[in-house]
Amino acid sequence: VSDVDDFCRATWPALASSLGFYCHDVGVGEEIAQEALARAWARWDAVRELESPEAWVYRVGLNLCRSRFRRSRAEHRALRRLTVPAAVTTATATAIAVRAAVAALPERQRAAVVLRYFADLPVAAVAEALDCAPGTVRSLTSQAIERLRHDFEVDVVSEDAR
Amino acid sequence: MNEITELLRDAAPTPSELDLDRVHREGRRRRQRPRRIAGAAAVVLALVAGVAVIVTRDDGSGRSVSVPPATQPEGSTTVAPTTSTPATTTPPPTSTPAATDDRLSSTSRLGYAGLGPITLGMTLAEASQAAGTPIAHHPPGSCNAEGTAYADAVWPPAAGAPFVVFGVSDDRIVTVRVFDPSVYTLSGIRIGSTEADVLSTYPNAQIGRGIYQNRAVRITDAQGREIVFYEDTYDTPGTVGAIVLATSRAAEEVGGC
Repeated sequence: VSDVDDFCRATWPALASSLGFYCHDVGVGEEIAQEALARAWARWDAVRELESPEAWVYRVGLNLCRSRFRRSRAEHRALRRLTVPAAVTTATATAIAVRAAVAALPERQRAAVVLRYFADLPVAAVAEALDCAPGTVRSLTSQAIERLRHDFEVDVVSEDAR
Repeated sequence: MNEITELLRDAAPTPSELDLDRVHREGRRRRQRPRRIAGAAAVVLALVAGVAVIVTRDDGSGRSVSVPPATQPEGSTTVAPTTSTPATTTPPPTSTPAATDDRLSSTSRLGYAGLGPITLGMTLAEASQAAGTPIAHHPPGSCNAEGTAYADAVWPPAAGAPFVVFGVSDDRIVTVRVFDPSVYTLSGIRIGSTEADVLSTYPNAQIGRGIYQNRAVRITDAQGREIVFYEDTYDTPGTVGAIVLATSRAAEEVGGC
């Protein structure tokens, strides 16, 4: 078993779920996570040398998600017909509400809070994935949590304490 | 544990198993791309040098047709359907209308090169001219986070009609997404064809899942272009609900990865 396969296996669950959160669609998240890992696999010699291969693959995933968002509303309307009915979900009401609240966050806040608090990436890796300064990550996560706190009474430990 | 972490973990969508084989497959395809580009460059050089090169046009079924590229513009390529021996024994559906590729119409055919007279890589102006009708932006051009212009163009522009969406990046067509049941592929598959039809027509097709979790049957050519047949799981399960042609995932590369 190669180390790139190990990397893919280890990264997959959190990557696919994070992108599912970010896209508000688990199927899209999985599809994009597969693609992001394939890109890592294809250029593993270079990716493995990066300070954080994980941050790289998250960055690719986020970019792919943004590409999806650009698609026209016309296509969305048409493709909605192809979607598996929502009744198959087994998520609880709270889970659905949390996903909806995360989906309603501004795009960069959403990415920051999911990568930092769900995928548990270090601030530096989130900053690399979002192509911003660590201070910006802290600011984005604070703003996101402020909004979520409103709905879910979330207790938050400051970034400095983590 | 921080409560926000706990909250997110409880709500997280649970992904299915990683398809590592697919990662390998897609990864290998990406590794091979530079060599394919070099091959394409060689063909271009040969054309510039005036060498008579016959480009084989094929939509993945094994049936291929020869098109003399230097004698006509790429956008008005006329497909002669019987110039080579079919590689499969499956005949195209007898009800398939004859292709008329001189103008974009409901009888235009979809292949790896494009749809009828519209080929991947055309500008919108070229595509409109080839189509003989304006192909309109819908919605008007927008920008993604990286500031790269991106827009979709729709044909026909009339609201409510069955339609085709051209994904446009940097003013060039990079994807063709067909929702019009009157449009066939070169081998006779269309919206409403069954998955069995697709698989018998394209024996090398691969079955996977689409971005909306629905089944997706994918065929790919040597240049990495792919045509994906998405299942209509909602209205008529087991049949094709959308057909998407893409150039080496060019549409997804626009994000700058």
